[in-house]
Amino acid sequence: MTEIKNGDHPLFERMCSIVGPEHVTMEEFARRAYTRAPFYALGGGGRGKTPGIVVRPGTTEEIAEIVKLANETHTPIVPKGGGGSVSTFPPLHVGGETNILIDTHRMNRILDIDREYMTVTAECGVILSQLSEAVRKEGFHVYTVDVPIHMDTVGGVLSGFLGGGEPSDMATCGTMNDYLLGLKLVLPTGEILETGGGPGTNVHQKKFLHREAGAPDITGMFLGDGGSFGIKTEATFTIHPYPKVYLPGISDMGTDENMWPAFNQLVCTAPYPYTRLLAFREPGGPWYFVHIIRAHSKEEAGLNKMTLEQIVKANGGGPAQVGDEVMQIANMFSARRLGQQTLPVGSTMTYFGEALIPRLQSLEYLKDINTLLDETVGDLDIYKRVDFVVPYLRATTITGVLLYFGKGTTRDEASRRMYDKSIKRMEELFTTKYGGWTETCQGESAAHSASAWSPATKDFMKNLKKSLDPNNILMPGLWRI
Amino acid sequence: MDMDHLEQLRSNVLKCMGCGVCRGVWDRRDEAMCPVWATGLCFEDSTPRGRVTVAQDLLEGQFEYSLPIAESLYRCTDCASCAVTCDAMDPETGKPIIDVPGVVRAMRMDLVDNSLVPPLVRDYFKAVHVNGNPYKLPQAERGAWAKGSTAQAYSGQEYLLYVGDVGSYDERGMKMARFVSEALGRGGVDFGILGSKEMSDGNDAYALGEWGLFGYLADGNITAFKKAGIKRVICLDPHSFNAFRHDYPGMGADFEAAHYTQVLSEIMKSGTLSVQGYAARVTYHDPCYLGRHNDTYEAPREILNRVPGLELVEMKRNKENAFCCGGGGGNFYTDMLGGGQNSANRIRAREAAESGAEILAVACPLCAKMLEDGIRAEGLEKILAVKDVAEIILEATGSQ
Repeated sequence: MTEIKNGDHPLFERMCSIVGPEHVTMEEFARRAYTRAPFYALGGGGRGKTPGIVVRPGTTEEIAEIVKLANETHTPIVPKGGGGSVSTFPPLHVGGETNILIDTHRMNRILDIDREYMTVTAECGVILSQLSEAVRKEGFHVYTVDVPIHMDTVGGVLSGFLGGGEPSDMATCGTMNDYLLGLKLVLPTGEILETGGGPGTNVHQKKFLHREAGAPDITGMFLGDGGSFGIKTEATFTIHPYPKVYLPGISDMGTDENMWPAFNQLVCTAPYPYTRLLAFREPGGPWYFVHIIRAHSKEEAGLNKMTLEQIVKANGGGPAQVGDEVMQIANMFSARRLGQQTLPVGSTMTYFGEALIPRLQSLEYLKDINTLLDETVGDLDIYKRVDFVVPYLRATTITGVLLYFGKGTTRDEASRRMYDKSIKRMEELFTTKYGGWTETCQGESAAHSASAWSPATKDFMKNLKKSLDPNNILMPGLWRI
Repeated sequence: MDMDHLEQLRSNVLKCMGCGVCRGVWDRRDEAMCPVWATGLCFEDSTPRGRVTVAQDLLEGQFEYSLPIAESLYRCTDCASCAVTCDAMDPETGKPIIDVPGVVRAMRMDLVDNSLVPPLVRDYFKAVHVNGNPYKLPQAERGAWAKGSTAQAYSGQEYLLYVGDVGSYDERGMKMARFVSEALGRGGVDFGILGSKEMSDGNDAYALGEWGLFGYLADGNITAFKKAGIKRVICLDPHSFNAFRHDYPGMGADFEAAHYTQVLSEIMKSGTLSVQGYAARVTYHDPCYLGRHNDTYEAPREILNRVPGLELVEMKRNKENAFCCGGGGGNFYTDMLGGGQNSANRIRAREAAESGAEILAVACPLCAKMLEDGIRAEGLEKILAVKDVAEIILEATGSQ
């Protein structure tokens, strides 16, 4: 427990004057509610540092006032969105017990949907599914992450590594960040900055749909910053006509010898004959491909399906005859759901070793991570484990193992073991042996990622942070460099 | 500090993985489903996920129950939207493995055991305990709604019409009780009423955690029903229906309970009650204690669909996805939720208006009152009126 007691945070009165007393709390139970991260995977235990005070600003200007006050009093700030980070958040080593946690959920307005220029501008407290539905009603699609779509905010996802998820069309269409045109944000000193296509443009700018059109890509500097370089308050994305045809399928790909050549051929085929693809298997079982084809016409979808099926067949695969359990796993991956529907009574799930891995080394990595898994939690009651490889842009995959625990095992126990027994080895595998990466730039895992930065990168980041945040107010110590 | 009730749910509470989907899933339900979250005025602890987090922290001894925790917990309207939104499903039961409404109720019961209830909740308990009803009105006036109606005192009829606190004492509820009574009478239903012998059903006392008071009230009703030989009960209020159906059987009750829309639906199917016509566009609001808590969605719609000329249109959120009016879980009496412009009843009034309906049909006296207030607050009185299903049927028979 922290030492902060109700009513004794030094900035309480001044915070109340900025946002209104109804939007400030110092109650311990309320502050601790912000320290929970789902999944309890990496990062050691899953409960973050308890802030000293929580504030819920409603405007960019209110956030600017809070940041100025924090600078004046040298009080650390932790911005928080939907609370979907898979890594411990707020990070345990960020700031002190007087931390100000900024809850951005009041800033949840869709500000503009421009059909002519095909853009959407929203406040950064908007939850992604809210954003997605707002543009869908207008007949458009916005690329967002998948699994945390119902919990994560625009600001949280842009500050992390795609919020720990991925867009449904990731491999073929790029990431959510690729569709970001500009940001409005509050810098660590309290100034408000609008980024966009160049000098004189800003987050609401319509004409230049490239971030680097007239200046360096300042917007990009704030992506994946873990909230350390600024607090995002508005974002503008490009949107696209909604693809109306949806064609899913599942193929039985047998052994590694069949699956792997087909996988590599599919991810190197242009144009892509799928919008989403994943490979998965249970240990000892056959590999399956799940594919989703999205298209604007049945003809376009049919052509893609034919191409995909030809590649599958040429490599010894074919249509899968699968039972309910395999279909449930397939549905979990392909739908915007969390996957607990596939669980037996009383069990919970987590990911083990999920990381971005160079594509050609994915299967080798999978063997290593399975060996480590056996050593770490092999004796626990694991109801089901599923190896998976998902294309992530051309050169990379997201590879890992999904664990479903049986009734006798709690996720917490497994997470503790992962942290105590295998986190260092995982880091070595992720970053040293395979040159891959964990999937988070925020929370406790940000420091794990930063540990692999080169000395030059560390120096650059130190100087950049010092320049932007001379009083070290925003997420101080996030990267531990 | 006593937390026996929460302790019993320990394994349930620890299963929550904290994803936060319980707050609302936009592509399935279009907006936040939790009425507390929807106000935009709450901190994380007042969301369903936050409530479970608080429960976990209590079980882990991070802090103890307190009045501020009580104030947070008593904002919940027990609407059970979190229970249908949760993705963590038990494949054997088809229900979520985490019973968030049950966890909230357990914590409220602990709060009562520890004498940690906010003043508004305490006042409700006191009023019911002392007066037998939250309106602090005499028990003798409980049957006043029936004056001038054809309803007779119960004397062995097939059914008891149980009207509950709101139907007995609230002006809007009394009006609804008269409509239901008349519609049942016109349909040839053989029923009687208990009048001043009826006691509060206790549903909301239980939802607020006062299980001792609930037990006292339930025992009183069960005894009175047994003494009168009552075997079948028609409920005006889904809150009563919920208590009679789920909670009374465990206390020795041996009667069947039905909501009035279920009985009216059967009457209309049989042709006993004939309606002429009703030229209006109508939308129907699902009460949480009839819908999500008791899975009764079709009976009210079947009634309305049998009325010639009536065009039934659905709000964008309906049936199990219906948005709460804000009056459940005792909030009708305590108003702990609040919410201003985004209070639940105002949001729901706006949704009803967006449906294009001119009549907002209800099947619960609490919803009727909440939604009428919401319509007034939104300035929608000229385009939208609240009517209960029985009132619409009576008007369709040409009797109103």
